[in-house]
Amino acid sequence: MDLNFTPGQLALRDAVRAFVKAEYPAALLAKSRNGEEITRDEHMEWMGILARKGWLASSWPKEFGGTGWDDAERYIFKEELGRAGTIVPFSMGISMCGPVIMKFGTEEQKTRFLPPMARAESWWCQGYSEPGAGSDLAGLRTRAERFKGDDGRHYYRVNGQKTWTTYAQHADWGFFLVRTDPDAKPQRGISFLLIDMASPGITVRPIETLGSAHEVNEVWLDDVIVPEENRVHAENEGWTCAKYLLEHERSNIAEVARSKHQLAEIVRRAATGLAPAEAASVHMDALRFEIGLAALEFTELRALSDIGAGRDPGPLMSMLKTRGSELQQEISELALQVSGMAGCITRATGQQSNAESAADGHAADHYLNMRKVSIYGGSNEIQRGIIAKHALGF
Amino acid sequence: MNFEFNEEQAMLRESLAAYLADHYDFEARRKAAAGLTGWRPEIWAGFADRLGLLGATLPLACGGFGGGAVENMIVMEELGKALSLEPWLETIVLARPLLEDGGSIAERLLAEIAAGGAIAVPVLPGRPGTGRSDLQITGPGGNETLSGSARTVRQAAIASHYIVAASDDDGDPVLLAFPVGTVGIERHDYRAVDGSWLSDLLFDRVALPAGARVGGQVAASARIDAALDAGLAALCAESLGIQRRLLEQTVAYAKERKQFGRPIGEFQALQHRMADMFMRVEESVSMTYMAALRMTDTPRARAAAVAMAKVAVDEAARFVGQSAIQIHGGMGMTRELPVADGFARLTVIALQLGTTTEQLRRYDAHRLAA
Repeated sequence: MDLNFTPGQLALRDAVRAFVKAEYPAALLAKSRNGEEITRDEHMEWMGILARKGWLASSWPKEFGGTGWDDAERYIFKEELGRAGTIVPFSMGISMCGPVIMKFGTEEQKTRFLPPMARAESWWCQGYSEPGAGSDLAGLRTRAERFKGDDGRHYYRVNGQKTWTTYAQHADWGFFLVRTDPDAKPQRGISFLLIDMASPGITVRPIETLGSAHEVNEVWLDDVIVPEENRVHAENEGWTCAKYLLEHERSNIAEVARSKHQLAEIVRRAATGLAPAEAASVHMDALRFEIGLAALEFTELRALSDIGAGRDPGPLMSMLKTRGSELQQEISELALQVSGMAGCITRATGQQSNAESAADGHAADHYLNMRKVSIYGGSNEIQRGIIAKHALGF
Repeated sequence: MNFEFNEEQAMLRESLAAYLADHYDFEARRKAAAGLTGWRPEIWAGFADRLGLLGATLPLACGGFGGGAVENMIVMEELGKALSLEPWLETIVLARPLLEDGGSIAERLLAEIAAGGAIAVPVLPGRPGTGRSDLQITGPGGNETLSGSARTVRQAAIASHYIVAASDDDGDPVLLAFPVGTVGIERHDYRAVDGSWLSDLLFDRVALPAGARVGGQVAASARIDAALDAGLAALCAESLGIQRRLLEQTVAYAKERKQFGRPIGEFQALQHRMADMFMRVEESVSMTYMAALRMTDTPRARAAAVAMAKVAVDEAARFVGQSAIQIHGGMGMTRELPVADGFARLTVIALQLGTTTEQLRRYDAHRLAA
C-alpha cells in the first residue's frame, strides 16, 4: 500500500495547477463565484484554451488528438480543474460520443467527427431520454425507419421526442439512440445515430427547471432525414454502444475537488459575514462535510488503483456517484445558512442586490439546481439497486 | 385537552379553500409569479369583499373579528397549499402586534388593512439587540428623520405603508409607521426563487409625518418580538400546507408513472421513502399546532416554542421537499409541475425571519422557559 503519487504524476499536477492559474479567464472565476449562468461563447472559450494546450480530450488516446493519459493522470487533471473552481469543460462529444466512434466507428467517421471535437469546434448533445424512457431507457420509442433515397443511397427517417437534452440549444450535432426494430426485444432494436442539429425537422424547446438555468431541452424530431453513414456500429447495435459508454465513463463522477472548493468558499463567507456563534455553527457543519469528502476521495483513489491494476471497481463506481452527489447537495444546502434571504434572489434576470450579495452567489438557485445530481446520470435509486445486485447478490 | 377545530374555524378553512380552488389554481399562480409584483390585487380584494377574510385575525376595535394564532394558522396553511403570493404574513400576522393599541394613527392603519385599503409591510432587519440594523431616527421630537437601510424586505414592492423598526438616539428600539410615498426612500426590487419580490430599501433623512411613532403601553421591543414570533408560527403553517400538497402529489405520481413495466410506487424503497414523508408531515402538524397554541404563553416560553417549531418544520420540509423532487425524477425539476414551485417556496420559508442556525440559537437562549 502506498499513498504517494509518482514523481511523474506530481509533475503533471503542478503543470496543470500552473496552467489553470495562468490561463483560466478571470471573468469566468467571478461568474462562477456569483452563481451566474455561463454563455455558450464562454464555455467555448475555456474549451478552446484547453484544446490548444492539447488537454481538452483528456480521456482520449494520442492517436485521436487526446492526451493519452491513464486514469490516474486524468483524475489528477480533473481534480486540479475542480480545485481551482473552474467551470466544467462540458463536452459530451469528448466524454461520450467520441469514445463510441473510436470503438465502433468507421475510419470515415473517425476522420470526420473526432478532430473537430478535440479542437472544441463542435458542440454535441445527447439524445437519449424520452418522456416515457427515463430510468428505463431501453423503453425508448423515437423511431428511425431505413429507406432508399432517389439517389440510390440509404437514409433513416427519424420521428420522436427526446427530453432532458443538456445544452441542445448550443449543440451543432447530437448522438441519438433510436429504435430501428420495434419488433425485437427492447435492447436489441436500438441504433446509434449522429444527427446534424441544423437538419430540417428538428425543434429544440427549453425546459424551465428549478434553479433558473437553461440547461435542458425537449428535442422534437419530425421526419428528420439522416444518411446511413451517420449510424455508428451496425444497425440494432446501439445498446451495445450505450453500455460501452456506461462502463467506459468512469472519470471524476465524485467531484471531490470541486466540492472542497465550494465548501472552503462557504466557510470563508461565514467567517466574514455571520455573527461569531453562527459562523462557528456553520464551521462545525463544514467539518463534517470535509470528513465526508475525505472518505469519498480515498474511495475514488481505491477505485483508480483497481482500474490501474486491471480490476473492475464495480459497485464502488455506484458508490462514488451516490455519495458524491449527496455531498454536493448537502454542501449547496449549507450555503443557504450563510446567505440567508439575500441568497434567494434569483439569477434568472441577472439581478444582484448589491456588492455584498454578489458573494451570496444566488445560493438558493444553486441549491435548487443541485437537486438534479441525485436524479441524473443513473438516479441514486438505480445506483443503490446496482449495489444491491452486484455487491450484495440480491 | 383537544385538537379539534370549532365550527367557525372549519368554515374559515372551507370558504378560503373553495375560493382559492376557484381563483388561484396552479396556472393562476404561475401567471402571478411571472408578473411584475407577485400578488394579484383582485385576489386581495376578493379576500376583503367576498370572504370578509382580512379581519379574521385583526382586533374587534379595528373592524376585525378578533381571531388569533389558530385562525392565522388555518389561513396560512390554505394559502400555502395554493402557493399564494398574497401578503397575509406581512400585513396581517406581522402588522397586528406592531400596531395594535399603538395610538390613533396605528389603529386607523389597522382598520384600513382590515377593509382591504392598505398593505403595511414591516421592515424588521433583526431582533432587538442583535446589532444587525443601521436604521436610526434622529432629531428633536416632532422633527425626527429616519436614515439607514434594509435588505431583502419581502412584499415591500406592493406596500402602501412601511412599519419600520429603528433605534433612537439612545439606542432604544422604536416603531414607525408611515406611507411609502414619503420623500427620501429609495427602493430596488429583486425577484426571488419562490416568485415573490424582495426589496432593498434606503432611507435618506426621511422626514417622518406627525404621529408616525407607534405609541401605547407596549414597548417597541416587545411588539417586535411578538410580531416575529407570530410570523414564525404562521410560516410553520404555510410550510405545512405545502408539505401536505407535495406528499399528495408525490403519492399520486408514484401510482401513475410507469418504468420497467410497472408504477414506480410498487418499488418498496419508494414506498418507504413516502412513508418517511408522511411521518415528517405529521411531525409538522404537531409542531405547527404546538406553536399556535403556545402563542399565548409568556414571551420566553412562546419564543422557545416557535423557534423550536420553526426548526422542526423546516427540517421536515427539507426532507419532504427533497423527496418529492427525487421521486418525481426529472419531472420534479421542471417548473411545469407544482412540485418544483412548492419546493422553492419551502426553501425560502426556511430562511425567512432568520436562518435555521439563528432559530436554534434563539431556542437555546429560551429553552428552559419552554
